[in-house]
Amino acid sequence: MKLIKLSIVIYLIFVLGTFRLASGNNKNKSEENNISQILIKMQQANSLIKYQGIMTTILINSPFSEVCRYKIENYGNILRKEELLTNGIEKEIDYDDGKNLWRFFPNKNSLIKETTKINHPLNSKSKEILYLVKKNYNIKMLGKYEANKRICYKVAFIPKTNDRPQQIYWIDSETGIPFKIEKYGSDNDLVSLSFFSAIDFQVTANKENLDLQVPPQTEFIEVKEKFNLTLTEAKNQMGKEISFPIYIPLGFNLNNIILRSLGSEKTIQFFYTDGLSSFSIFQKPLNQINATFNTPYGKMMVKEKTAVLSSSGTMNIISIHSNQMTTTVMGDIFKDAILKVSDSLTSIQQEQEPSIPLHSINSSPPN
Amino acid sequence: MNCIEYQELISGYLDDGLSKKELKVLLFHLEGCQCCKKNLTDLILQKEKLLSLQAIPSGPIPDLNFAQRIIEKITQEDHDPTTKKYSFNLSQFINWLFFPIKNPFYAVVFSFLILIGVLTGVFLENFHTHHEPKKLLSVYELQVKKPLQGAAQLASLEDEKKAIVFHHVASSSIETLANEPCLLKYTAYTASTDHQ
Repeated sequence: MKLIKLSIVIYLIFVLGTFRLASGNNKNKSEENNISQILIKMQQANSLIKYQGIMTTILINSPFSEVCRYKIENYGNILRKEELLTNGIEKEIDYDDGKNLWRFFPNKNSLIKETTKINHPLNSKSKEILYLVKKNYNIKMLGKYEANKRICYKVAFIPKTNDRPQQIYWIDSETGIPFKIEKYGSDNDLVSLSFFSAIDFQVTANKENLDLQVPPQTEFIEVKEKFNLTLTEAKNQMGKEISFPIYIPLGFNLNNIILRSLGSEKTIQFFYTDGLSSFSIFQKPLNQINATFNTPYGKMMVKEKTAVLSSSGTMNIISIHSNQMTTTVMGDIFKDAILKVSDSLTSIQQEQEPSIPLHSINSSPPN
Repeated sequence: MNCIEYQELISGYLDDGLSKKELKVLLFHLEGCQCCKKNLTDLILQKEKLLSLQAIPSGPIPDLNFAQRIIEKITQEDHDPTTKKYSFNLSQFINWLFFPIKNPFYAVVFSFLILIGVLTGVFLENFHTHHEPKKLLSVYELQVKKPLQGAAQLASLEDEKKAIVFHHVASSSIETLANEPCLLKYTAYTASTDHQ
């Protein structure tokens, strides 16, 4: 009898345990689904939502902290205007009409025409980006909070490696727009804070919005851009030997190779992302515009070449001058990682086929 | 009526106090009487000289000799055949021109009017400068007018570092999850580095 009773108790414990485990799994799964939906919403927000507002960015740097304010007008994937709210020489108004990005510098009397930077959901690599984020970050839902008098999800992106910033987003539950973003440095100190204010969703595009008016005497320059080049195309376009990194921080993928031309001057950009953080490698022949880097945080030698390192917020930038090329590595990865990337740069000969990693983890998004 | 009786009419003429009838009588007499005509001419001239004396700026009271010298001077000029009867009188003109200034009330009024005039001028100039509609062109029109310029101009627009920071952030804004503004890190970064 005792044995029967014991058997029943063990059976009940087993059933309850299984049920609890199953419900726990379901709970985790539903939370994961919930997070996925929020992230997809955030990813598509700028392409689908019309809004305008003021974005304030605070960069907490030692010894200087910087505050910048921007007026942002977003009309889905049709039109976007960004304006730096200052009267200084750096004043810039960016007007993107979905075909071209017009960068107007009123106090420099100049205008640059580039290719659009508006994200078209159908053409973008949104699925791949979402996959990368999930792979490289532990994503935690920290609850619901109020911002701009609306309910926001507070979501933390904790990197699985310690070479890139942790980020916390306050995402509007209704539209998916990130109302507030915090980024943390290598010591887990807050180094960058961006937040929206005076946000208004009742906006309509009128004739004034659908144009950018400039004084007739404005100097005008057009920069041609080619996206998604292959490595062979990049080599052929540059005509000189270009370098490629042997080391790439874990989880970063080569997402785009972009060629920019201004007349005969060419610059190549390798863009890497882990879905949330990113870094770029820019290369251009040295006999073109010689930049003087006026903000050396420190000089060092990278492969017996002079290099200059500087940083601001979560962004680090290192510039290396060789006999033929100027190479700049920059992005939201910590100093050690960016130094390691720049130290691993190896030149590719014209006839040499690339035997270098395009991404550090051989992965592709699930279909 | 004899010439002595006409003296009253002459005095009245000088004071503009004659009626039309008396003026007609006097003028009829003067046509035939050279003596009265000369007398009237002398009196008119003397009156003119006396009026011109009023234009002399005020100062110490002149002595009697000075007054006597003036009377003599008037008498001499009256007999000078070269003296013009209706010559331009500078003193009188100056007197007319600056008369209001002698009166403190008019001086204040004129100063006030000049001040108002100057202020109105300044305001209108500023208004035109700041409110004159600036002629602006659409970027699409500008595209036709100004073709591609040389590479050197890009250097003057923004240095290489700012350009590559912008392009990194722009790429990041498209190809990461956050969809942050293109300008965001770029301007914050450049603002920060400009302090160094």
